Amino acid sequence: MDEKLHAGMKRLIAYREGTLPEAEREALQEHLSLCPRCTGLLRDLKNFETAAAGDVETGPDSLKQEAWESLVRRLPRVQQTPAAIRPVAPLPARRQPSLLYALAAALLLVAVGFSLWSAVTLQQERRRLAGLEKRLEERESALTEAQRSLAETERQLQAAHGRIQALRAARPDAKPDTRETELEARIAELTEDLEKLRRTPQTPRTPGGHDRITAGPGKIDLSAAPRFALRGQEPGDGFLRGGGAVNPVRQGERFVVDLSDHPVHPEYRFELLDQNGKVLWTGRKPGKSLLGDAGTTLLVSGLGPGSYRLRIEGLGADRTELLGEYLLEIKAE
Amino acid sequence: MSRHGEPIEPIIQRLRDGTGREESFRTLFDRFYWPLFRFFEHRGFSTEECQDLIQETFIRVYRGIETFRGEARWEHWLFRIAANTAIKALRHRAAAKRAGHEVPLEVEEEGDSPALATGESARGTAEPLRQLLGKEMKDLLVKAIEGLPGQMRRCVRLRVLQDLDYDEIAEILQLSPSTVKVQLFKARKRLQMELGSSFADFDL
Repeated sequence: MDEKLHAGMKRLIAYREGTLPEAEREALQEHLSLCPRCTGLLRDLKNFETAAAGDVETGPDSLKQEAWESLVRRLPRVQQTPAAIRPVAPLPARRQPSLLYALAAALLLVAVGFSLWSAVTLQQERRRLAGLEKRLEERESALTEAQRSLAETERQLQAAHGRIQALRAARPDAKPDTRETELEARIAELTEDLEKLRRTPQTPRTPGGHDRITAGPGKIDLSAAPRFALRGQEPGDGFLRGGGAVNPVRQGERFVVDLSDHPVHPEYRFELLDQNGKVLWTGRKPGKSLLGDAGTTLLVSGLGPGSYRLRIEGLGADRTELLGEYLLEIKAE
Repeated sequence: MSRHGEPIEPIIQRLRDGTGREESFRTLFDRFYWPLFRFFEHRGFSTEECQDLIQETFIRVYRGIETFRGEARWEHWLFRIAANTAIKALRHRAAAKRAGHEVPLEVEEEGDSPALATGESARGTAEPLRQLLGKEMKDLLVKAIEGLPGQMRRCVRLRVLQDLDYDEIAEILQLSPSTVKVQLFKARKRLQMELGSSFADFDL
């Protein structure tokens, strides 16, 4: 077996964890069938997992204790060994106090104090960050639930409205009774509430997801946010305003695209298509930029009412991966 | 969660934070001493060498704990360190052997990772293959195995070339033992049909 072809520890672990892509998985299995060395390593890994879970034959405690004591003796010789494990050095013989010693002691005290203060501050910051993250998760969860509830309410409203219309159609001459009128008024109120909610700007983040898009009623012009490279624009006059800053007068709609889960792509391509699949606009964004690669913001304000699709693709050296396709509804104001 | 009680993550966190560092390190040492000992022992190291390699592994853990981000499983991270430590030790031993120094154990080095060639793979010259008569027949068999469908071919190779049992093959290929059994049964039929009576008693 050619040494260069051996599986490598990282791949074997990924295989064991089930995170290896299908094609690589099959290639690795083929290799394993021919290579007792890699097979042996994989079995060792499995045995180690079992042992680490507690299913292991132990021996005399004295052996373990002896190894621990040797380990502790060796640790001080290791570079970067934290002070906590380094044995305390014996104190020097007592001498006459001098200004130099006093100064050194003062400096040491300051250094120790600063270290303690840094450690405490760091801990506090970590705790605060954890709290913030938790609150963010809760809010996102609540938002998702609210959206789901909104969709359900809308569905029920439409169903109720449909039923009323059907009843009316069945009795064209009948006079609407009070209950029916009340229901209709209530449906109108709720529909209005739903529309208000929709118009409220939101940038929800899907937990664990990679895309977030919000849209609402919009008007003319499609612009690209800063740090966006444009090329191959197809639309006609007035459709693009180049890659400059967003025009504050033209209040369009923001599309926030979070690509933080796809950092592997060297470049991203965005395409806006109409209902017939015609590409209206296309833009690319490098995977790395000075401002980070966690996503981008598009300002869309050049579209008339209608349905559009936004496609986001990750571009690699030898492949293109479709990361998402979104249906955008632009409604007339 | 392991059978030892406390989950490993908070222990690692304390070790990284520096709060109760020595105690956390001792907890890790106590918990993984014997798994590491058995691993090194299985690789053919003496008790003294095992002791030394365990210490070496924990020194690397101590120095590199900041690089453990929790993306990989802790056991796998530790295993990588231990396996690399074993490889380094065997390289050192092989170099000493080449230089004419006396070394305590006779373990053949195999390429970059000599440790990987040891262990149970010693039984790689499998019994079923040895039962065959002559190189010609062996070549015929190997050629016929190459013509089998992927999964079947891999099962047969592990059985014939590495002498693994059904459960071991299932473990390696992440299949159920019954699937392995069926694959080998079908393979036997196909090989017998292709190779004729010479392989009628060939046991898969």
